[in-house]
Amino acid sequence: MSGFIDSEIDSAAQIGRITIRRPDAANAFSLDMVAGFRDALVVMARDDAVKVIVIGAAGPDLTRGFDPADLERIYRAAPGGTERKVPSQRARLLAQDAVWWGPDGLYGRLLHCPKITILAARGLCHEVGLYLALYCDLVFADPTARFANPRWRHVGVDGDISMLVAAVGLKRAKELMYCGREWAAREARAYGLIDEVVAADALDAAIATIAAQCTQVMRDGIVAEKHVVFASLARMQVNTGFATATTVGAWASNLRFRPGEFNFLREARNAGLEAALAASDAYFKD
Amino acid sequence: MIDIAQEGAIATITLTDCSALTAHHVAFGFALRDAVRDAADSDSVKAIVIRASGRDFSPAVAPADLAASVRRRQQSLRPDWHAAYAAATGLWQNVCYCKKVVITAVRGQCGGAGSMLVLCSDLTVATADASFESPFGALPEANLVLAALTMRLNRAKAWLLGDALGASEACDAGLVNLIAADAALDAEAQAMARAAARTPLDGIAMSKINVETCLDMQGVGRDFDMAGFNAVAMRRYWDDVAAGVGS
Repeated sequence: MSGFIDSEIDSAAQIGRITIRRPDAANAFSLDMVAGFRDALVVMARDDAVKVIVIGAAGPDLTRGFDPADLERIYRAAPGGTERKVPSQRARLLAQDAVWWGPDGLYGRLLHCPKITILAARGLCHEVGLYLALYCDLVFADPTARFANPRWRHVGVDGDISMLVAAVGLKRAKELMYCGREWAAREARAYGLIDEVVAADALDAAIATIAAQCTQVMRDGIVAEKHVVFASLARMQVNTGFATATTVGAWASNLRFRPGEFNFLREARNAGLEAALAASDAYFKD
Repeated sequence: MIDIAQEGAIATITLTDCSALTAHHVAFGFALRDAVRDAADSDSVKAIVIRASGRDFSPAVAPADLAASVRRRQQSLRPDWHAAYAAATGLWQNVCYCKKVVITAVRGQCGGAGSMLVLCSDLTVATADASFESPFGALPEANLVLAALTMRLNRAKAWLLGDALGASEACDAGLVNLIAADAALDAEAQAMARAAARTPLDGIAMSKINVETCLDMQGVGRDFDMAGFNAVAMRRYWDDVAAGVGS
């Protein structure tokens, strides 16, 4: 398990806690952290002592998203990823499925977790953070929380959108998708992305209260209700949305850029990661 | 009249207003469809803005005029109406499934076809005095699934049955993305288009295909397929109203 993901189970309280702990990098997810997070979910899903899983982060941000430094590694680590200079298409598909959207991927595991999942959102809730907000059952945020997926500006909308559309509506979803908008906590609450906004110094207490309330539900009741939700999600075609996300994500990793378009990976290779991030901010600034 | 201009990667389509579309003028429907399709097919275009030069984006239609219009046209029996508006060859599906980002800029009244353009477009900017009338009483091809995905089901049903929404209500309901000052409407729509146009062209096309998959999973396409049946029901309804049946 990655050293940047802490997990603990409080059997007496019937609560599991997963904490992202890489605050000096705005809690950016490395490939190892994704695996560590997913493994913690698997362990807690199988532990009968756990009724509720609280997900949070150390420091002022939930996460700025997947670490750009690992963007190429994610495909090289997949079968067929290193046999040529450019990762094969099957490596891209298999990586998207295994890491994110498949039944054993991070989002597949979180969406289909049989426990009640509660997210504590603070500061940057970008990319992976946006998906954590979409796939957790309950989201409490403090006023500093900001939700966006800057990655979509670079490559287009390459992930699942069915849950986003269901949560906030089609046109609102498209603000994030096409305009690179970032929603403040109160906007996210008004649009239906999150459940509550509470003062920063009251967030942990509010989550402790709701988590304790959720543990009052019988174990059988929790698992039964979650499976009713899974059935509803299937009828809403969210499973199809995840399958589509695998395919589209693989395409998006292999885009052809036209003259004048901003190619983040090329910029990072040529000028370094920090320079690429700065150039990206300048390019997308109106 | 349809005017088409392009600046950078943004195509701007200007109509006088949408009243000819609400009246199901077939040639006009095909002309606007072709304008959208041509912009969508051009590799030099990433975003399309649809605006009106008139005071109202889409003047509302009085119920008496609507009843007379529906009965006179007997729409379900007119294949040209279906081809120009409801079918995959028609205007609405070409806007809804366009491979570029489509933005509508709405001022004043927006009823009938104007509301359908708003529903089918990706993003909408409106002035504070804009009012949005449900398209369902006027257009048999109006798409309730699309409205429910945009506004959520209960709001869509309330819109179908209720009064026009003011701009602020429409924004709260998710039908409008941004409210702009009257003088800033076009500038805000262009700014939105510029933001969208910064994404790589391949990425925009891929995003739109991703959205199209989502729309089809939810049944938007099947709801368009119901237009002919809706037209028959609508004509019978207005026939009954005229005959004083069930009033």
